[in-house]
Amino acid sequence: MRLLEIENLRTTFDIHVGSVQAVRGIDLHVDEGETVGIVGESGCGKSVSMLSLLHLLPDYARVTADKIAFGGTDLTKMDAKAMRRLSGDQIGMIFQDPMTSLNPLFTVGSQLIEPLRIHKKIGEKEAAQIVLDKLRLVEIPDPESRMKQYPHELSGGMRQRIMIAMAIMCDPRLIIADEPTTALDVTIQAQILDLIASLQKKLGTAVIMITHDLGVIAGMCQRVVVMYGGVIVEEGTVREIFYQPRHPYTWGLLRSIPQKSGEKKKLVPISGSPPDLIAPPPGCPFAARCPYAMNICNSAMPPMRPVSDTHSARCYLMDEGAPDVKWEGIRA
Amino acid sequence: MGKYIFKRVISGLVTIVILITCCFFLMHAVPGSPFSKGEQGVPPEVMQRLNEKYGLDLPLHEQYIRYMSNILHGDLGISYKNTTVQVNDLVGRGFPVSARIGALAVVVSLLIGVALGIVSAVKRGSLFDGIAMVTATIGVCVPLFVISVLLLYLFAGVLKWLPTYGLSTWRHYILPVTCLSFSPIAYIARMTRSSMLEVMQQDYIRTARAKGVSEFFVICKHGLRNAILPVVTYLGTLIANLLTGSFIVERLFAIPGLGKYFVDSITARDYNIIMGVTIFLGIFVVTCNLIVDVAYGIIDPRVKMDE
Repeated sequence: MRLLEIENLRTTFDIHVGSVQAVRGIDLHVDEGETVGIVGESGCGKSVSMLSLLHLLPDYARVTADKIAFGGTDLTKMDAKAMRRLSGDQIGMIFQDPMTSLNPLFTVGSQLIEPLRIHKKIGEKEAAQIVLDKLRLVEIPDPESRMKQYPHELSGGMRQRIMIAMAIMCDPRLIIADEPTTALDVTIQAQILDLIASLQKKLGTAVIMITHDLGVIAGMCQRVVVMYGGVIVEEGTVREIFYQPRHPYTWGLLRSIPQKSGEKKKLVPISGSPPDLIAPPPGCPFAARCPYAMNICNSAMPPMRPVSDTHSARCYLMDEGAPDVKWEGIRA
Repeated sequence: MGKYIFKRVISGLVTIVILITCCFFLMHAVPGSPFSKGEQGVPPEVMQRLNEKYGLDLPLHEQYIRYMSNILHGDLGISYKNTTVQVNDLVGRGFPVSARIGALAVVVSLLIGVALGIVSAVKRGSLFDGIAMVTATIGVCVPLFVISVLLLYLFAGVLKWLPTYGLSTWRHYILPVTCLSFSPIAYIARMTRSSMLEVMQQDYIRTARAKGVSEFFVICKHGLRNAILPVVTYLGTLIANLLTGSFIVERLFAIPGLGKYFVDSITARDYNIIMGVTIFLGIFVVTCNLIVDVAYGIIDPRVKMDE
């Protein structure tokens, strides 16, 4: 069952030096209960696309889409006000930095109760009981006393657990996790990822995991979307992306993962920097950094080409007659 | 909390003692005395008798000790200008009048200032924001006496809508309260706007929106409580300033408040009134600041009172 379906989502920021085309027409779908990873480097549009969906961007952002359907409802016609009824209820969001994502002046309990009071219209007592249940679900010790505490009295990992509890408070059908572990210690990162994965299994919620860490993707997701320069350059199942990647940017990403086994080898960085999204190149956004770039790559945007039912990529190297460049694995 | 307040009260008392001491010696360092009446003068013999009667012939340190012990008994002395008047009574009569106008002005400034600040911040860059901020800048710059005289001339003189002096009906309060609130409104509006703009960029505001909190509550609950903190800090000074009476406004509208006595007593070298009013103001300012600091700690749980 399709839960979320997005076609041609575009987000532009009008700022004084011009229009930043942060998201340039992405198509994305998420099935009920599925975990989809969106991976890409900073500024590729992965967070912005999800924030656009929930109307969480500042007012100088312009969002358009041909289609946004969530569980059968058309979201393109929804304004921010209508969207508020959905977010926090059907869609839960976990943010990057738990240190700043909680309001410092309110107790954790009062912030956790809020979505229940708004969406479920239930009384204080009943809501408090649900909050306690959710806090136990995210494995917070001594939830009764935690509820009375303020965010500054809790550690980063604990706060992220609170954020997760907040996201699942109304039993959403979709959780969007925007780099939920980036701001945390490595040991805590693993705990939080395990927690999200186990909650996903327990609750059967669909998850969109935004990250720049392919390791996170490998551990949790069924499908992966690779974004670069505001467009999707490749998407497929985790297996397809890790073992038969077709886009040189995906190759670059895979080669820049540290390997724990084998001989000591330097990581291979992708040289160059991402394109300027105020005046994005007419061709493939990755062409300037791609070691295999051809003339056509600079002049026209390659279309998404299917590799299999689930796998497709946006690269001219997949054309017949293109130079024979093959992925030779991470160590090549 | 109790420990914190106790510590603050002690340090407040020390502040008051230092204030009294400085004020006492500075005042006596100024040439002239309560009984030197300019050109006409009082005959030297009479002056001598008067000084003896009121202990003004004693060495300064003895006068100081006498004064301090009187204060400890709660006696601020008599007015030298009109010896039938007790300074205690004078403060007791003047302060309620000043405080009533001042409290109204504080409430008005806070309500209008914060509201203007929020709307300007939310509608940043709009015409409303532009007009409000230009007005606020003018409000901060133009001195109180200019505004007061202008408003008095316009509404009481030309339009004759409002009475010019006294405090007998509610209409009498409109002009003085408006004059007193004018610059605090401007100041609070600017402060609220800039702090609101900063707060609305914060991650927790985005979290609140993602939870589905309506924009009204995002602004007025999650935003305002954070944005109001700098205003609360300013409130201590503001309350102390407004409630203790403004010399200009009280003079202009002939209001028998505390501010009027203060300046009158200085020109008259009426030592006891100067001291009495100063001590009262001092205690009041120290108390206001203490209350504001405690309030700050209640609004912002990150402020630890006991450390």
